[in-house]
Order: sequence, then structure tokens, then C-alpha cells
Amino acid sequence: MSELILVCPYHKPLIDKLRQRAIVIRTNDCNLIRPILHTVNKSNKLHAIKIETDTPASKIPFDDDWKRIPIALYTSRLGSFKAFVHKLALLRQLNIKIFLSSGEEENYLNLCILSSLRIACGVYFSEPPVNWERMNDLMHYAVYSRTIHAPIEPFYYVVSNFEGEKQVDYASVYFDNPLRYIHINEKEQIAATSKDLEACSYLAEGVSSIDSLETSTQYRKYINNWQDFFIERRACSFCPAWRICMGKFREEAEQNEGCRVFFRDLMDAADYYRLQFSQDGKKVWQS
Amino acid sequence: MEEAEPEDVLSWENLIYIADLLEVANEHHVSLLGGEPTLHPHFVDFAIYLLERNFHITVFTSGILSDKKLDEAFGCLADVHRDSLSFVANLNHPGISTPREQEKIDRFLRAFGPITSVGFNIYNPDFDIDFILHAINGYGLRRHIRVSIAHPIPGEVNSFIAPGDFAKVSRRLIEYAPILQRMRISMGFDCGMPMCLFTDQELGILYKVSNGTLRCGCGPAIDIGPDMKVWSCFPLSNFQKKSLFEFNSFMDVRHFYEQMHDKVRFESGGVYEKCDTCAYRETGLCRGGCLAHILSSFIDEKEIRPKEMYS
Repeated sequence: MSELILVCPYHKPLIDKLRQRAIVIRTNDCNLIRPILHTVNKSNKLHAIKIETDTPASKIPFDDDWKRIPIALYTSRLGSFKAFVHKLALLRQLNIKIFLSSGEEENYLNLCILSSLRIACGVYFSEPPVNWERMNDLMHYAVYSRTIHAPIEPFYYVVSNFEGEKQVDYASVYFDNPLRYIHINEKEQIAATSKDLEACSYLAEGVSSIDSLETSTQYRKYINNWQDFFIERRACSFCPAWRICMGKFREEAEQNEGCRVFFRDLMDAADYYRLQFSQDGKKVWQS
Repeated sequence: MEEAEPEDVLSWENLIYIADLLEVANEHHVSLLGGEPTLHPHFVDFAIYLLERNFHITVFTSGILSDKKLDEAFGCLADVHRDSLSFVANLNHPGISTPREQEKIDRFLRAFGPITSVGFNIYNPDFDIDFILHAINGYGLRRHIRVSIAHPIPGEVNSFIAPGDFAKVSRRLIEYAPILQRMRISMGFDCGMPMCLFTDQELGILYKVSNGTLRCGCGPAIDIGPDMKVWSCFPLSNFQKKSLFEFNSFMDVRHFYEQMHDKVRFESGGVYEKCDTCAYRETGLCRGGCLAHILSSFIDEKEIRPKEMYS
């Protein structure tokens, strides 16, 4: 198992305690990027910075200094296209992915625009309901478009990691897959996901408990929670696309089949992608 | 992007679709036409977007823009390299423009003059382009005039130059050749005219005036409408109109309309009967004039030709 990466707030005392560990720092203040880089560079393995902000992307003060680190920018909107375009030249040099909320209709189009302008981007799922039809259109654009464009997450993650039988948890894209990332707050309370952290549903407490976390009963139980889907009779239990969705929309799935249609199409897209780009696909035609 | 859009204009989604299709086809030039493309609510955003995708764009405009739109366009496009963006201002004779229109055109040409060339549509054989020469010098426009000849739209009533008047038009163009050469202004033709309109001497003159680009051709230019309908060129907007979504690639679109052109020319060689046996047409030096004239002539006959000639 690879090392767990800790997702934490920008809190100096906490970061000091996380020396030599891989961390993702969460912040909602773009002005903190420079201080963060200054603080963490020497003693921590900075995996990425996750910025969550209501400021539209067009008003974010992107900076040359940001070139040094992977950044995941979560914002609700793109904002003015004209203002955004001025930032494209710099953005193309950064190691940045811009995530827009699924809650704004205009974002589905904006993500196509970003991708076609070769800016890596993604959609993040805000409050339900999700417009699955628009999501499906966006996914089709992301996977089937024949032009060279930037990847759109989480579709790219799913299609490029899908192996047919195994589960693929696209939560990794959002630093939220407990097999790879765990979340910790200023009080050193540790949770499996960001939602669990907000809901005070902790797995452990104290930085010292991190090393033994993966062998703890609570953690093992948590990561095997998915088995519950097949003990109970839920809509998700019978969904062929479960292995790429893993019941993330279980409440919605009981009401309508929007998510099922979407994830089945995504699975087809993953098959298509695999055939197009994998070695196996080539072997069909080449001896 | 947040405002509700009128339904009869090109949407962002369709623009992206078109740009992708062109990119795959390795086509790097897009012309934005109308109506009046600058009236589109996202005209400036579309232009910036296409430029960012490394398309070279030509905007065909009347030059009559609202002050707000002109300021917006100037603010965003003034610094774009002249090889990437150009305007073709379709200027009318000042005699048929209102003072208010003249004022707007004046503002436009002052703003974008260095990247603007003049487009002139000949719909009357007695035309006059003196005002264009004045404009080129006065505003420092590109020293090139893009000449188009009004053709019939089969099945519709519009002003156009009849084949019988072609010779008159060509004489008039030749009359302007010396002054154009003196002023170092070149002239290009949107659609080729039949080669037999000109004497060898006149062809030589026009060859020089057009900077060696004189062609007596006629082929698909491919227009795409805001509803994603596609057709061969403006005069043929009612002929074999298809949905862009019926094609897998832009190459397929081009190939389809090239084949259509060939089929029509198989029925009738050109605008004149003598085109059928013309050696220059057979060798491809002349295409026999505009296809719209040929199709228009079919309308007046009994329906003896393949069905696709009439749709």
C-alpha cells in the first residue's frame, strides 16, 4: 500500500507536526499560496494545494510563483471570459487544474471551453440534484472528442484507470479517496473524507495515530463499507456501473435513474478509451 | 455567457463543435460572416476564443457597430497580430449610406483600418470604386480590394449581374487597372468569372492587378449557419443544404459539395453553351463561371435532370 497523503488546512503548528509526510493543503485564500510555499517546502512533501473559493476563476490572481506546485482550484464559476482569457498564457505554464461546480448550468459549457483551450479542468459535485444530461454531454465531449484538448475530470481519471473488473474510485481526483488520502484538522482529528471531517465523523485523533491508521479496525471497517451495498437491496446494488461510482449518489439513485444512465455511459466510454489507447487495443490490429 | 441567448444565433456549444471539426481537418482559417457578425452578443468572446485556439479569422462586416460594441472589440482585439485577425469591410457607395452610418463606418475604420481591407459587391455593371480608393488612402486600410459579383440565388428573387452583363463588368474592372497599379492596390475576386470574358491582354492586366492570384474558378466555400446547416456558398444557400451533424468530418463536407459541383457541371459545363466544348474548361483553367447561374438556368427548363439538381 502506498503512503497515505494527509489533507490538512494551512495551520503552521499542524504542518510542523506533519514533517516528512506527504500533504495536501486546503485553503480558501489565494493570497496564502506564497506563505504556504514558504512554510512547507523544506520540511514537508507538498503533494498539492487545494484552493476552495467563491471568487470566479477570472478574478483569481494567478501568479508566476504558483508554477512550483500542483494546484487544484475549486471555484463555483469561471466568470468573465474576456478577463479570464488574459490569464491563459500564464495558466498554461502552471501545474493547475480548475474545478467548477456542477451546481451552475453555465459550468458545463465553461468546462468545454476550458478543455478546448487546453486548460486541465474538472467538475466537482456540489449539492444535488445533478443535471445528469448535461454531465453526460460533458463526459462525451471529454472522452470522444477527436481534437487535442485538456483532460476533464473526473472522466479522465475513470477512463484512464478503468480495467474492466476492478473498482475505480474517482474520489482520488478530489483528494477524497480514503485508500490514498485522509483528512486531518487543526485539532488533529482524522477522518476518511472531507465530508466526514465536516460531520465530525472521525477515525482517529492525534498525529501519532497516523502511522497505525491503516491497520486500525475503524479504518479497515470504513474502507470495506462498500460491501454493505450488496448486503442491502439498494438501487446501487444492481447497477452495473457501481464499480466506477461506488454508490456516491445512493439517495438520488433510489429516486430516479439519472446517475445510472450516466455512469453506464461513462463505463462504455472507458471501454472505448481502453480500446483506443491501450496495448490490448493495438493488438487487435497488430501482431 | 450568463445571459440568455437569442435562438437564431450561433451558440457557444456549436462554435466549439465547429472549431473542433476544423482543427481535426487541419483547417486554420475561419471567416465570420452574417448578416452582420458583430451583432452577435458574443462576437468579441467568439473572436478571442478562436484566436486562442490558433485560428486565423476574417470578419466580414459593414463596419456599422454600436459605440459600445466597437469599444469592446477595440479593447480586446486591437493588439491581435495582423496575421491572425483581419476585417473585410463591405463598403457601400456613400451615396446610399446615411450620415449616421457614415459616422459609424468612420469610427470603425479609424479603429481597425490597418487590419481591414475593403470588400465590394458588384450588383450593378455601372459601378464606381473611387470612394474605396479614397477610403484606403484616408484610413490607411490594407491595399487590397476584395471584389465579389452578385449572383442569383436559385429559387429566389435578388439583384445580381446577369451573364449578359459580365462583359460590361469586366470592361469596368479593366478601366480601373491603371489607377490600381499606380496606387499599389491589388484586387482579388471572390468567385472566378469565365475566362472568355477577357482578352489575353486583359487577363494579363488582371493577373498583375490581382498579384498573380487571378483564377477563373468556382468551388465550394462552405458556409455554416447558426442552426448548423451547411451549404456550398452564399448564392447556393438553397442548394443541397445539409446539417453539419450529418458529416463525420469537415473533409467529408468539402468532398460532398465538390462532388455536387462536379455533378452540376456534368449536366451543364458553364454559364454559356460554349462552355460545354471549351478547351480551357476541360483543362481546368476555367470552371465555366458561377454554379448558381447554371442551377438558375435549370429552373426555367422542364425537370429533366437528376432530382438533386433541384433541391
